[in-house]
Amino acid sequence: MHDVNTYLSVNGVRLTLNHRCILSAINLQCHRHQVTGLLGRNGAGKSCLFQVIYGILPAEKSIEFNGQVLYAAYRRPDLITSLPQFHFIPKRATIRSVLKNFGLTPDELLHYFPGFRGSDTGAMGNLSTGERRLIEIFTIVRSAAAFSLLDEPFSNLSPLHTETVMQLIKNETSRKGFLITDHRFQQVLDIAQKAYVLKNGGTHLVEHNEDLALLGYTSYRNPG
Amino acid sequence: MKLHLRIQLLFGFYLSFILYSLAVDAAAAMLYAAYGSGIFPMLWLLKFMTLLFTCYTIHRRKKSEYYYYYNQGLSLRQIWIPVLVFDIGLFLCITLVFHA
Repeated sequence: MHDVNTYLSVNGVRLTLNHRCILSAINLQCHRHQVTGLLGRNGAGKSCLFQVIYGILPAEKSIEFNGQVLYAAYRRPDLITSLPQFHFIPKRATIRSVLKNFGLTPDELLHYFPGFRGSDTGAMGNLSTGERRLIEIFTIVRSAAAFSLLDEPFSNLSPLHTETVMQLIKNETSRKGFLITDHRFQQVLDIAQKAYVLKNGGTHLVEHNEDLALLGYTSYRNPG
Repeated sequence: MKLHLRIQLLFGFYLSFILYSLAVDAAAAMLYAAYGSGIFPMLWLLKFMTLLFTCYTIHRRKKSEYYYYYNQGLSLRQIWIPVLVFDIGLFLCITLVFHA
């Protein structure tokens, strides 16, 4: 079990793809019991940053977990799990086997998503896009890792399920931390204790809502 | 990671191309039965080439599913090496059975 001050620190990331500098001035910290939001326009490099943190995209970087350098985070599912923005669970796998592999039970799933009652023996490929996404979100959010990276967890979800997922994430902060990116920024900000905007390859801490407009992430609105 | 979970995950991954592989193994076994041990180097070449093609295709088609294995703590090497060793072992067993 990790202590309360557990943190994930990401610094000095430098990523160049096709002679284009994607990431260059990254500095962010995530803490356990917190949701950290990462916002940014399309193409800003959010997903690339997630892949760099997870260790599957080679880049210059300094990823530290509690002060210890983490080279390939994906080899440590006890520390970090990652939800990509696409479907990642094989279609032939059954819901029950997927849950079991993540150390979860169907009852835990049904507690949040009763709509899956009776279908836990079915294959992932038989589910709708949204249902598949729900299972994927549930397994990563509920995984035993100290931190989970969530890339667009709210996409393809109905408003009701979005609320349930937000509640699920909030509940899980009692034992772990999250780094979330999603274009539905209001939902991200509603559950995040801290947020960054990724712009021009660097991270900028958001201290006030106006910062989002100043950083060019949202359109400027005159308070008057 | 527990051994049975690892085996279960690797077998699940192997299922994604087991049919192609078994088809090649069966074809190789029949060729072996028809032409004898002299054809053995050719069969290895056939297996090697088809395996290379299968790996390339599966790697492209199943790229997104790697996350499933990453989230269980398996790296690409930890997925592919045991699966390929098993597949080549199976090929060897099948041809030897035909030889016997």
